[in-house]
Amino acid sequence: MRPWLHHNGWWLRRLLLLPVHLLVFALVAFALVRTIPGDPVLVVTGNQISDDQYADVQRRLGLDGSLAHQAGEYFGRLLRLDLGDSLITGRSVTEEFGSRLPQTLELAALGLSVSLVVVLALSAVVLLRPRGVISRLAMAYARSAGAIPEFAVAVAGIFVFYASLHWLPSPLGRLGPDDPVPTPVTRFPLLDAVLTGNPQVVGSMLLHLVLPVFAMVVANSAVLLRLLCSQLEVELARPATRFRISTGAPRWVVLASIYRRALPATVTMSGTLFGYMVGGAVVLEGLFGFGGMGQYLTDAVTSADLTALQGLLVVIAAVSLVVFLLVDLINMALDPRRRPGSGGAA
Amino acid sequence: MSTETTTSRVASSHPARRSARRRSAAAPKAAAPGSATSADPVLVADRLSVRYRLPGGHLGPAVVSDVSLTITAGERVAVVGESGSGKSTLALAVAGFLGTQQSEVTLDRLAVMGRDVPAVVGDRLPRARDGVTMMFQDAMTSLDPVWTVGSQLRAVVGAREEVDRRDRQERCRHWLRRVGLADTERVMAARPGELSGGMRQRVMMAIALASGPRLLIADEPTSALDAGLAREVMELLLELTEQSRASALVVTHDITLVSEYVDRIAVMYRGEIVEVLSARRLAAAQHPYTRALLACVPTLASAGLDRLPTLADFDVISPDAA
Amino acid sequence: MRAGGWRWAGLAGAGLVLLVAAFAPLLAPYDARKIAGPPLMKPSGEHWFGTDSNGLDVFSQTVMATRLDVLIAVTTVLAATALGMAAGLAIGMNESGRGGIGVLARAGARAADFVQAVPAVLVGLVAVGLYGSTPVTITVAIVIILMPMQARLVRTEVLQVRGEAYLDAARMAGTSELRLTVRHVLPNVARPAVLYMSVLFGVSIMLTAALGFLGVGVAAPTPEWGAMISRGATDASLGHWWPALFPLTVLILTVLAVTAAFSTFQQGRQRR
Repeated sequence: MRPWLHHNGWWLRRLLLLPVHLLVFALVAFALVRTIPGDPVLVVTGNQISDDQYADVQRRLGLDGSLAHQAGEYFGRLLRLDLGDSLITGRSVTEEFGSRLPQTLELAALGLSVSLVVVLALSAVVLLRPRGVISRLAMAYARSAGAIPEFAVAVAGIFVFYASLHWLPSPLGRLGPDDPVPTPVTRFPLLDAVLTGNPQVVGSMLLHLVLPVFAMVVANSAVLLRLLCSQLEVELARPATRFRISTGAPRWVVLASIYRRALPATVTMSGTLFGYMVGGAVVLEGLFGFGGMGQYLTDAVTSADLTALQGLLVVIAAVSLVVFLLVDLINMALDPRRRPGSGGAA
Repeated sequence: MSTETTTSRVASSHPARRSARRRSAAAPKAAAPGSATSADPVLVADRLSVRYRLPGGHLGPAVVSDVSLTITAGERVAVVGESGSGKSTLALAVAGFLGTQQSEVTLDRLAVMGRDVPAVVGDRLPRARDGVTMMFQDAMTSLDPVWTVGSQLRAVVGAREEVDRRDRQERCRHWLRRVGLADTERVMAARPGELSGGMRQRVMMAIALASGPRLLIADEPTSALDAGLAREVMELLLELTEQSRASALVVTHDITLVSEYVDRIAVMYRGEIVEVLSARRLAAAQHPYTRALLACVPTLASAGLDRLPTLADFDVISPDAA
Repeated sequence: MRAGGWRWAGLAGAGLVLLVAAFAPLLAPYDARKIAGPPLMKPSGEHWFGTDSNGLDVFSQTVMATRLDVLIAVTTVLAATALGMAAGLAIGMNESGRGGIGVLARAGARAADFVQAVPAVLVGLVAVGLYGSTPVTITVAIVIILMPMQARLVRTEVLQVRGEAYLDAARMAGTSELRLTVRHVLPNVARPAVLYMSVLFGVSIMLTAALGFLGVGVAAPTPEWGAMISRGATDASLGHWWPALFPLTVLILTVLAVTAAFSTFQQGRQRR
């Protein structure tokens, strides 16, 4: 037990910090809602309400009583995973997020996965055939880093591949009109479709995902590609790489050695990019008629749905913290010098 | 014999040069001109010159100019000179680490074990030069910091010949014991950052020797170590090289230390080899630069002097300026 | 040669963008908020970029939107860089300190790392939801999003400079810590932050446009690229490409030009 703890302490300790961090951000969300200009009750309802109604709304927003009382209520409900009921729609915010968030996260995760595969493949080509046509195109593309928004690619894609060429289905949802909707099991739509085991549904869903995922990959891979290529270049020139080559290590070992040293920066950037892609997914959902966080959030923003927004902050923090944790853990696995207590580079 | 220029353009448009490169990468020895025998010198460099490309695309001055050097099988040769004398560049050219992007090389011939090899490589990711292993200055930067010593050693053992897995583990331990690291299990599980400087240097030697070189190039193998450790490491390195029946090319600035362990010393000054001496007859040095180098070394005789002379005290006339 | 051409094109393009932003009202032939002709007219001599589904002149809208988007971007980048540098310096110089300041600085460093993983668009959404969709709210929200990026970068640079001997020498000579930071550390860490402004510029433009695209950005009828593209997207799916294509192209070219222009500085400084 002791040696096991000793060898695995680095990620266990990191994991145990998660709830602490979450608590801090829940506190931030709690504070933020109380800093909005004007009386929150009036912001939500408009001005024409009676005193009774006022007290009721105030209670339902969790803004009644002393600050300590409010905080007690808030964290008490948070522990039960209850984010409150929306005053506007009357529905539970937790339930809304529960059914919508997985859709958005799945889209973002698909975007990031495809992007990583593309970037890893392209970077290897640039590394091994720096003067080839593919490498030149890849580097020209990498220069566009950060200049192309995903909705631009998506709008252009819809115009070309749907409106003009009719190669792809209409951007009106995840499935065609005749496709049966898979029963929700995990609430991740593609995963559910795969679990249901109907190849027609999976195929249709994939076809509907082509454009949004393509848009996210085109918009976000350049940053990643540029970073990875520059890191690979740095690692390639190091004596450690030359020593490996010189001692006749197999080519794949040399490549693994270079990549393992070059990847941490890319992994960190992937964490950032996942955040961008969640944002991108929210933007694209409206364009492609996907259910998800997109429509719900824009509605919540335009109607000043404070309960939903406060809940959103907590959920953003939770998702980001998990991503941050994964980034840390992957980097610690790749580069043992990053593990706490490893003594650093010595 | 004509001087052949191997720039990137010439290299890629010159069929003979290209096929030579391909041969050196993979083809069996029979395909090479003058198939290798043990009688062949391990290294032949004939009139080798190297210039680096400057940021603007222009060529800089010759860092190595018209250098010729031959190393026979089992011979141990040191290249001695100050920093900037071109000795490290010479080593990189021999080891196959000069890229067409950064350098231009002219030469009459470069051959390893009797086979012609290109002096510059076009790939961004170079390949190993058969039979040549190069060790770099500092073991801390030369060893891969994120992999365990065991995995780095295993990748090399059996890279140049088939070895089955259990044998491989045993050979790794064998090489670690050879360099004086008895606690093999602990060393193999450790990453370079967890070892002391001396241990890292030994690990680097173990990996270099495990790769089975015919020619081992060591670039300043002791410059990161203190004097006592430097002597120990140099002695071990050349002893092990001899046991492996490999030749050695040691690049260093420390002429007295290296002279105890090598057969010949080539003195490099401003990119040229100005003198090649037998290590046992340093006193026979003719060139003023060599004499100056030797005079800067503290000896019992110099103990009476107020201060040691430095190179600046000597009016060394460079051969090309003369 | 080609890289050089790319940089000069960038410099020229960035200059052009700034000119358009500055003189937008003079350049726009029509009022960007009023109907200028029949809806969905193809680009012609009269309407260079055509008209949108409401009959607004797309060229005038694009030009006026450039003014707004570039103004927001420039403001946010400058503010975020100034604040980020200050935060990065404060964190970097105090990180290994003992006591409260050290703890605070380390927490700040971790927080800046963490913020990288937060979806920026969602932060913008929350900000607009809580404080209203005015240009000021959006500007403040984007500054808050961008600032940690600069702080993080500057902090890394400070950590590299901090151990230098000339700092100890200055301390021995009795220079105060604040003066030391401003006079000796700042000049050494500012360069990467200044170059990084091109990245921030891109992110800022993207965020403003994304919020506009979602319909919660700067309130209509103020012309804004994202909102224009969003409205144009509906037309594009019916085959009318021009209301979306022109603002979209201008947006991309603006970011590309600024990125390329900054790479000129990078090269120019390196050569020296």
